[in-house]
Amino acid sequence: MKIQVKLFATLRLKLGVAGIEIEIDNPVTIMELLKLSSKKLKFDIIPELIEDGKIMVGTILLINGKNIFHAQKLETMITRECEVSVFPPAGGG
Amino acid sequence: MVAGAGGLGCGVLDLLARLGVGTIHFFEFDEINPSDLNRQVLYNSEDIGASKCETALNKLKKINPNVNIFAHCEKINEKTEIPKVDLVFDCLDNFTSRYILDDLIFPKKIPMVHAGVSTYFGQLTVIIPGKTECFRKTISLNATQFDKKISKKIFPPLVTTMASLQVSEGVKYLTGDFKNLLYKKILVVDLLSNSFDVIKL
Repeated sequence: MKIQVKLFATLRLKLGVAGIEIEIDNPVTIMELLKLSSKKLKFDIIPELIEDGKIMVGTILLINGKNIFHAQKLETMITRECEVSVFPPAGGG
Repeated sequence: MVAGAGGLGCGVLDLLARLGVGTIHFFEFDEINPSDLNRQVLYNSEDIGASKCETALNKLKKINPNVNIFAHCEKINEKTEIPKVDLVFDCLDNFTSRYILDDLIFPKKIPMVHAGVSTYFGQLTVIIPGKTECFRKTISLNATQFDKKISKKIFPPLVTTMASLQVSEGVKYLTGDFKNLLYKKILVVDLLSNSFDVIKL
């Protein structure tokens, strides 16, 4: 199945890509998907998103628009084709 | 009601007054600094050191004397009494205050047009009690830690862009145009690469 990983704002700027497509045969956790994404991007995105095993403050990860913060966080399973959005919100006004 | 009269708030207030929105309440507690003048369109060089709240009130009354404008010269906190309003524009500059505002208005079923800005990037979404999750659940993060990292660097054209988009969504809400309203989705604006992405929530 195909997973679309979309990157926004500062992540897009840093990595120089708006997104990638990852093909998987079996369900994976979001953490595993990020590792697969790093491999495909040839850039380790984990330190940009994860700190001490937790989602970094200021990073929002959405699976089809649903925040993994309200699911099983990095252990949230991806079991079907979906869109994963990685989005660092802007805080100022 | 407009929460905050900084970059976003000035732009939103200016447009609301010019559009002739009947009654406007706004909250702001800060003073005008030289670094505000590159994007906070209600203030100019002779206003430095003055209260943003009083200066904005005087400026808005000149823009449109037919609008009823109420300035609340205070910081929004857990005990703030929110006036009876149809819609709130979140023009605050940190998530701690945004969550406090959300806690005050969501239970009262008052909708909110949220925007946030940083460098070249911003996001916008409309929170509607009964139709969407509250703001705290829509953009969930550790506010205390996040607020320490908020960049003060903001590309001024981004602020005016986001303020215009906030008013555009506000007008849609007030006129009942739910078909085109940005709710259950979030707009991510990137002025550097000129991309406007909508993520479904």
